[in-house]
Amino acid sequence: MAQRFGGKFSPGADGAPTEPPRGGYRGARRTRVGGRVNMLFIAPLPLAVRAFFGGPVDLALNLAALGLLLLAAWLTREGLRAEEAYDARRIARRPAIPRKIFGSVLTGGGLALAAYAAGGGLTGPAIYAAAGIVLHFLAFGPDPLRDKSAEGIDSFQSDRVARVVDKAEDYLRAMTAAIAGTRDRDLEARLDRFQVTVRDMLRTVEDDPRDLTAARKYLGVYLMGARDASVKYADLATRAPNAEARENYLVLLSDLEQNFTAKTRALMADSTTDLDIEIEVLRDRLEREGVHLETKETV
Amino acid sequence: MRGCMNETGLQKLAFFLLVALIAFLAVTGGV
Repeated sequence: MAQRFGGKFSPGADGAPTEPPRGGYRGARRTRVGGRVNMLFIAPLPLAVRAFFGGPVDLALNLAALGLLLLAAWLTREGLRAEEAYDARRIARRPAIPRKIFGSVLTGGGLALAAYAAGGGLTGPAIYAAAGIVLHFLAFGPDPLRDKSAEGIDSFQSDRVARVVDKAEDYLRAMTAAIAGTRDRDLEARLDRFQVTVRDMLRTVEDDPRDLTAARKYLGVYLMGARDASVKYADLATRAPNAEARENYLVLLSDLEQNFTAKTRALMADSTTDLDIEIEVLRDRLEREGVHLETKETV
Repeated sequence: MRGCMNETGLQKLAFFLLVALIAFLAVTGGV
């Protein structure tokens, strides 16, 4: 007799994990911040040396140009960061400050000052400024200038969602910062996994803002409690290692994670009901108009 | 139909030209 091979960790076996562990990196993307953008910080540094080979006016102009170029590089990096946060969400408000556009203008200003310090005149610096602005704009593009919202949702709803999501992300950031202070690598990884679950819920709410009412308690009160617990635990742990508190904190994270997962599933089930109703309505309508669907039930 | 360079190609070119321009001005002052 043939016998199906199966061991302890085969699918369906007793000891087999039912669900693959979900790493904290799920859905993560490589950031465009860094690497290339850092070149913008390095390129203008020779100005700092040049500044000391002329008179006092040269010194001031060159250092001001260096400052402007560094500020532009910093704004560009922050702008890219804001744009990534904007892209990662389905519903998002536009960045309050158009950082990349300011970066373009400041780059032009810095180049004009540097050219003016070296040669004087107006035409040369103006040309360099225009070239700088155009090249910076081509390289990095404009900032997202419009609020982003899903199809068929009014701005009031998406605004509410965006506010709650912002707040929730703040809580998550505060938790990460608090636990990073304990320098406990395992705990940080555990927290990352919990945050993936929370972000699942955030994406679900963004997809369907009607879920906000049901999820508000989770994203507000519970997350705030989790943040407070994280801060308190971090305080305790930095003073002296406390195995019991650590255990309790881990249990809290597990409990919360289970609750969040269950709630997210429930919210998604609601969306499935919506889909069923859509299908039902369309089918009825087609039926009434004399179009018969060849589905498995009718064949 | 767009040009022969895709968007990222153009962005890369613009970026390297920008860095070159900044470095050139920082070193020589543009004269």
